Amino acid sequence: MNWTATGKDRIKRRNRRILVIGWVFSILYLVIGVKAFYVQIIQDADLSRQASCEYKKAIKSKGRRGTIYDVNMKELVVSTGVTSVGAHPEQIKSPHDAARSISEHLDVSEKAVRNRLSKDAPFVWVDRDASPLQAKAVNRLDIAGLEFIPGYCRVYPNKRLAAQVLGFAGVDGTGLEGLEYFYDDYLRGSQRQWTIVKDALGRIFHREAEARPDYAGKNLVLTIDSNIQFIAERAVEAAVEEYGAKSGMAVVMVPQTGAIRAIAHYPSFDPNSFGEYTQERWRNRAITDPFEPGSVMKVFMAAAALESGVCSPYTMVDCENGSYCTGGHVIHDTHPHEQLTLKEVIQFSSNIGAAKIAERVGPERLYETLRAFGFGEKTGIDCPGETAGRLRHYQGWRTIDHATIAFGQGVSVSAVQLLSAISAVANQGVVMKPRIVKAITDENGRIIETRPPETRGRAVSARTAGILKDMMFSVTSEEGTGSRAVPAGYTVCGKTGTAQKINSRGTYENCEYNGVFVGFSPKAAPKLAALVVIDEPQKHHYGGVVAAPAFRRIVLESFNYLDIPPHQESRNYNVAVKSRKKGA
Amino acid sequence: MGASSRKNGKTAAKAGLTSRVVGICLLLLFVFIFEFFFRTWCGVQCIRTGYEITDAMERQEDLLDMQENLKIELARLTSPETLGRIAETRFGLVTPGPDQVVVMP
Repeated sequence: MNWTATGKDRIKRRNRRILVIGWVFSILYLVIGVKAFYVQIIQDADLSRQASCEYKKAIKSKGRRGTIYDVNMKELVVSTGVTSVGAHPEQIKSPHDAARSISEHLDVSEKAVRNRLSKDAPFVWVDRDASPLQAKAVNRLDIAGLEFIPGYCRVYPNKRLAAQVLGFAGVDGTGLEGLEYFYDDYLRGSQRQWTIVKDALGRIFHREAEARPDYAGKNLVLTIDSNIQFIAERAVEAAVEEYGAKSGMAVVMVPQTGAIRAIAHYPSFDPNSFGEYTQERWRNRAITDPFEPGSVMKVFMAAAALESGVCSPYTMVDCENGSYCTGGHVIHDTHPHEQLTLKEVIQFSSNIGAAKIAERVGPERLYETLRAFGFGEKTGIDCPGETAGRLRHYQGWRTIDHATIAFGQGVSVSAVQLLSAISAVANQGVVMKPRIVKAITDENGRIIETRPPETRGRAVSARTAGILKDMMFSVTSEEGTGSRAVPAGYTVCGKTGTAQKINSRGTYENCEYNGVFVGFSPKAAPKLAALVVIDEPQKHHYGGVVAAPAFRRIVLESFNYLDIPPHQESRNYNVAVKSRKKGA
Repeated sequence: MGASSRKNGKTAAKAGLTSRVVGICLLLLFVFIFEFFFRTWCGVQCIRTGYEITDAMERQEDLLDMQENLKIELARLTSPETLGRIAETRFGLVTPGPDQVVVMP
């Protein structure tokens, strides 16, 4: 009986203990449940955000800058991936050891790295254009305080070729000069954000980019032909070196379309290391610098005379045997002449003949004709810093101004302006707008914009242009001043010019000249027009001597490259050589 | 006799029901465990594919960089200056004169 009672008590106590334990566990589970509810439901948003910060990272990257191609789709400028290596000096424990290790993998000396890491600055650049492989090698060193920022740098694989035209971009990928600057809005890529998801070990297992159609920059397709550009650069270099000149430039253009095939300068610079050259070298002087064209302007004076009906090519002018007084000043000819026709005035480049014919034409008509050829206003070429030149209104001309403008003094032009005007003669009197960009494509090469040829207006009638062409042809005859411009087997229409340079005081220098030759070839169906300007030649200074041979070389080598055979207009051959398709 | 056999029948029916319930429970448990493992496997596969995609993207970027560098190298090698120099110095080529050009009729 006692046993039974004791056993029942024991069972009761056991049940009580079980109940207590049950309650304790229940309370614990309740606490856990409440906490779980609080964490999962109440704090859900905050904790999710905190967690995503741990494994999600947003980074920004800049799109690749567009490529610049020549007319044959050969790369003139490309972007390549680089990594900028930066450092937080205060986080680097041992700058000496770090500098030694880092310099082994980068193209920077140990001393330079050590100096940069020892600077008292919150952030320094160690190397702005390390290759991705170099950056990976440095990253593997696992040095705390280093930062790696991917980006792009511009490479100009042809080095000096068309350097002034292309310009260059800075380390931050912004265009600073030339087409790089002018078309920066098209060329530069935009920024986009990447979301990177990392695991607990910091390895990336997912990344997603924000959709940006304009992420990569657009590409430019130029009208420049790198082969003709090279030919022009070599010709200018040879002329400058031969005549001990200060500098030289040449422009080559297709007269019918205004497409610029070459703009050459010498001396030039390498845009891959533009900082090593003076800013003077960077400028595209064919666009930005005005100069007095000299006797080349006689062609346009003759155009005014013909177009106004005042003269015919055979109208006689008394050239006063080499000396003529007008407006209180005396004008001289290089070689004295007595009676010359208008055609001979152009052929022998008589200043007195030009001044006398300009008097017959009158200032208003001469001014209007020069304006019609585009002098005194910008051509609208797609290059930065274009000069309009200088052509004062005829109402402000004195008698002597009227005379000197007829032979190219007291008026200034840019090289591209002058070539554009001469091209109008080759193009039956129609002035074309010079252009350097043919098309703009997207990153996949699809054309998104084209730049077709544009006319700027008619300067003279087709008949007058034909007569001018004949006159210019006589300049390159055996007796003319431009005979050295003619390559064997081809016909050339051109005009020489020799202009005294103006000094900083506004007066003419006695021994500083510009030698100029401008023309086009072949005569019957002009394929190319070219201008050569040799600045301050020392051995000779006449345009027909210093600039004409460079013109000849440009025409000969370019025609050889373009498969334009000699004598093609005199003998009507069917050309069966392989023809290359040339874009406009 | 009759009551005994009824009782036996009820017991047998109860035992059959219990074993069926247990079977269903086991099946559900199996399905649940299978689904659990399957989901875990899917998650692992997803992460592994993520790594593979990331690796492939990195490789693509490396290859694109290499392609760009090769393009630059090609542009350098085929630049008019390089070709002109080789043509003149190694092969002795010059621009032909008008008498050297033969136009095919």
